[in-house]
Amino acid sequence: MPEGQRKIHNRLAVLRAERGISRVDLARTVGVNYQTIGYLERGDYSPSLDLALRLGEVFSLPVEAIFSTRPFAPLSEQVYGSARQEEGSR
Amino acid sequence: MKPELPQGTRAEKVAFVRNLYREQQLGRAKIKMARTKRRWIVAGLAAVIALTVAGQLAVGLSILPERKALGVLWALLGVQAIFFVVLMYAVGNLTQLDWVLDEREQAQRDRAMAIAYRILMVALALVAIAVLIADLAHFRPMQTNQVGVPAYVGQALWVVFSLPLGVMAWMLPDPEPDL
Repeated sequence: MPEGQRKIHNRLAVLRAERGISRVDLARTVGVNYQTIGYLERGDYSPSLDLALRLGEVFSLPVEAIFSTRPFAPLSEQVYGSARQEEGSR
Repeated sequence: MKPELPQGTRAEKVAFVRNLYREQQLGRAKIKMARTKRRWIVAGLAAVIALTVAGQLAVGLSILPERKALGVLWALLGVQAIFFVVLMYAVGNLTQLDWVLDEREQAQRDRAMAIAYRILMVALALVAIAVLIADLAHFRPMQTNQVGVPAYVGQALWVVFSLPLGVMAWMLPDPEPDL
């Protein structure tokens, strides 16, 4: 990633693992090289709006659910954290 | 199943073939060599280019006998070509046209081109200053029949041609560890 460019965080690796999609399959679906998926997952490359929207379509999720300018909280914390909050409020 | 060329205009046929080739490229690794290895090759290419230019200057200044040195200079040009081919393989020919590359590859290629352009600007300025100073001191290593202006221009052209590839090979990360 060029210096000075803000890092875009994403959930691609988690979503891909969750749906059991390989990098090659995902790359073919959105029309990029499979190495580009690796770059995206590591945060080494920020996608264009077009590519971000195509990825959103593949996972049937809005772009902001996949990409964020802030780091995503770990999934375990999101799932169990909210469950604990609900228990606490009862 | 073998894809069939669609019946239609030439533009449609061209678009079909391009799309087919591009799709085939999507599953292939573009970066095929570890960064350390690539950097050694770039350093090797730079050293051989420097050696070739030094040889040309030495012949031009009659420090080396022209007949004997010419064979060595041609051999060095051959080595440069080999380094170039290896670099092309190492970065998976990321210098290809837009329609073959995806957006990340285009971005990497464009960045390498921009850096190469800056390096060339500085190099050209330094060469121009060196030539001016050499001319003032009546130091003109271009007087032989074999190693004259075309040889220097040819070498410069080769540097311009291989520099973006070298920059790309230097910058790109290691290949993807898994699929």
